[in-house]
Amino acid sequence: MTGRRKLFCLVFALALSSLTLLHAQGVQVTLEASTVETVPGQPFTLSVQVEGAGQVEESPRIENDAFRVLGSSKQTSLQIVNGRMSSSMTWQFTLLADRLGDHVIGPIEVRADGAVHRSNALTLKVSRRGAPPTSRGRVGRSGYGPPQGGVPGSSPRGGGSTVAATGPAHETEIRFEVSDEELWVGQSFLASTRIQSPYQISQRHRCEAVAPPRFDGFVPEELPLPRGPAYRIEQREGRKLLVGELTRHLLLATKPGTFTLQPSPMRIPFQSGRRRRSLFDMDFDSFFDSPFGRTVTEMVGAEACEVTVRPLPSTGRPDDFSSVVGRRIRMHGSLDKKQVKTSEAVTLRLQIEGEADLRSIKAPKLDFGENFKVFEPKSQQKLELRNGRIWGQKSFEIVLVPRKEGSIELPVPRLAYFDVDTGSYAVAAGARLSVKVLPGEKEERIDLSTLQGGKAIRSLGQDIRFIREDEEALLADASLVRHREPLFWGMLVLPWFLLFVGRIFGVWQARRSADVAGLRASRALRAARKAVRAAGPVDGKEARKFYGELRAALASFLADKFDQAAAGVVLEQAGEALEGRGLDSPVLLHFQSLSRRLEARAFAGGDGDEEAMEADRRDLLALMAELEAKL
Amino acid sequence: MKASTTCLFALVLVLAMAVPRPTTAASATVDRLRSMVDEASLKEGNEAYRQKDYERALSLYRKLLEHHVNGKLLYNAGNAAFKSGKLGWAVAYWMGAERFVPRDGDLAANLAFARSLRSDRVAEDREGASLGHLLHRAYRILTVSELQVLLFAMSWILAAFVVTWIFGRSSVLREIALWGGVLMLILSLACAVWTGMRTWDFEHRQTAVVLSDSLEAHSEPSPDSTRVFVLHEGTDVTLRRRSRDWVQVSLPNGFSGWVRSEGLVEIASLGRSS
Repeated sequence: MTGRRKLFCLVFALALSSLTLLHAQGVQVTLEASTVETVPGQPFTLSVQVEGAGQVEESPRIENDAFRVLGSSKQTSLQIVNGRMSSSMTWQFTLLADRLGDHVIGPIEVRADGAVHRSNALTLKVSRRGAPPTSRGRVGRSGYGPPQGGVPGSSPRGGGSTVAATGPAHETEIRFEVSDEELWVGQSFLASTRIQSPYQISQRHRCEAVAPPRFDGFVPEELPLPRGPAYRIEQREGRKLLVGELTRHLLLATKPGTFTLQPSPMRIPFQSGRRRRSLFDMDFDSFFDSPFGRTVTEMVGAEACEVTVRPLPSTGRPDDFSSVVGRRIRMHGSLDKKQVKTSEAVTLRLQIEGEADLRSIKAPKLDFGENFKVFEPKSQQKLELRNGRIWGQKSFEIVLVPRKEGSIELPVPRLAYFDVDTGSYAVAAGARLSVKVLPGEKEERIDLSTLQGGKAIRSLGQDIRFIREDEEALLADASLVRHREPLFWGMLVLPWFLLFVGRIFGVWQARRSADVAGLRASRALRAARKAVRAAGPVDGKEARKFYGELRAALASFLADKFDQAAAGVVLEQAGEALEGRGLDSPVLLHFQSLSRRLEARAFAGGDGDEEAMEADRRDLLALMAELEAKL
Repeated sequence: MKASTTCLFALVLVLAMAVPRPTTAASATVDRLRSMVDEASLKEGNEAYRQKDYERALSLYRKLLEHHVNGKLLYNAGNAAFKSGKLGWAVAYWMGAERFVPRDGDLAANLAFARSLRSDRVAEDREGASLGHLLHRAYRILTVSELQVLLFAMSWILAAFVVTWIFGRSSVLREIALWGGVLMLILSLACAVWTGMRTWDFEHRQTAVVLSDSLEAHSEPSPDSTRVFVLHEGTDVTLRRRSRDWVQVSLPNGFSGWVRSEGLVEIASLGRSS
């Protein structure tokens, strides 16, 4: 075994034996603070050191209403002194004082190695003045060390910070400023956190609040800075200082009393310059520095601010008090038209502005009576900063549709508010306005194109739509297709079939019309029957005429059949023509006998027997039917 | 006279086909009883849906669909299925209802909402307001039945124009009939093509919806073949072929694969129409 190995084994054995001794040592808990006196809003460090404990079962806790714990960290160290090994654990808490006075912290209880151990107690004084400068006065530093850079042309000196020491955090001042220190309940005012430092502040890193500020008694609203914190260089007391605004709050006083506004400590990213003279000046850390210089983040506190809030007086309070508390409130009213018809819309614009937060006020109540149909007003609002104070503006657009004709005066709009300058209630009123209404259309129709749209409807959720409940329709049988039904094809083809048939019928009819002889022959019987039935009255005095008409009807019938002129038909010769067409002898005989009888009675007249005349008429009709069938 | 008689005979013949066959007293009684039972079931189903007992409502709607098939009943069944957490069934019922009532706004909204919830994004989800999508919507804006009725009506109007043109005595009337007939002929031909395509689609193109949470598609109708893609509940596919208990499906993006038929429901099989 070589000498080096022997030495290693010896050290190892010593370490093992020391570890076994650790538990035998007594456990000691020590409580320390980085300062004995501080101011509200100024962070400081509180350390809890536990020595000689093998295992701490639970981290110590700081519980005191006067302080806020902003953060904590833990360190463990192992030491060998005179051959004995000792271990220690240290918890560091960053605290922020909230209340003035002397406050006792501790004793802190620590549960270690199965037993409870207590620390000493500390008394910390929280005052307006703060602690005297000490070497331990630095607070909450987190970074690589104090930067060497500064504002070009400046020589960093003490002043401004609440705890004097060296380094950027102690030469940097954060001021908490309010626009009004004497307030009234309901008044809104501005509270800003401003920084001034002889050191450069990184623009690439943000200044962050360590903890939320405390604005008890007020409703806070953080206002965004125009483009983040913007810094400028100012010359103050012969020094060049970097000045900028870090936070901006709008506070609304809710109750009377004296209140302390406690701003939040800020983590400020200080920017150090590069001062290397040569490569030999460069240390290990600076080798890895950013070409823009190092950034050192340090925590800087701000002093609290005290404001007084007075209650609003109850005397003189108008019934229509609008809850607006401010100064220089003005109201302006105007109409977009001086003359309208009864069916047209006219817009009344009311603008209220002044040094107050006017965003929550409602439109002034105006009694238009029956003169106008009034639509829901549409509003626009604005909140700005003017000369370090808030300035609000709210405008309303009320659409009116006149119902009556004539010159109508509008009610005067007014807004009752509390004037903080005079400490009394006041009224802001608009000018008296009137509109001339001309007769419009008879029906009261509102021209919707003149109205301005409201807000878009916002979707709150999505779901399917509800079921159908029409029972008759739900139980109906619907057909998806019809081509499987013969009726469909039948009805589809039917018009074309009818068209085809009709066309054929038309052709046939045309051909038939062209055959005059055939047409005469086919119509012969109908015409002859008509003539026979129309033959004169059966009366003895008119027998000659009656038989003459029957004879003419028979001649006309035969003329149509033979396609000849009726005048050229002689009944005696017609018998021969019928015989020539092969007519049956009974029919021919019937024709000859009847034709002779008609001829004879047409010239000589009959005996005037009506029954005989009727019998001859029927006989002629029967003969013509026989001829029609045979011919 | 003979031609007129033929026309009359044809008309009587066609109308005779439309006359319903006489029913017997027994079958009328059965129909009346069934109607009463169905009405009671429908009321119960709607009430169950209102009481948020969606499973029961779905069960009752399904029973009714065995006897009555219409778009509204399928819509209600889809609603009950959706509320029961059965996305695939809901999409299937609503797609079935879409065949009956393609222009129903509520149905379209529900179907779009259900499709937005499914895991698979298919081409039709991304179409939006493209020209192809608009044409596709126009193509399906009428049901097959409505198209066939439209074609029938156009056919009669065209025939009327032709008759007027042939037999009209006024030259102005005949001129109007001629140009009206030409226009109607073009429209009728377009309608006939449209109707023919939709009818062919109806008869030959079968659509189905995935019911399983996850359905693997294979290159062949065998579980040992290569997995080509995975479908999820609510996705609608087109059926191509069948092989025992496997069906070949295709997607709008051109993907095609074989899946087990038990993981799908065919739209055409919903209700009595199957």
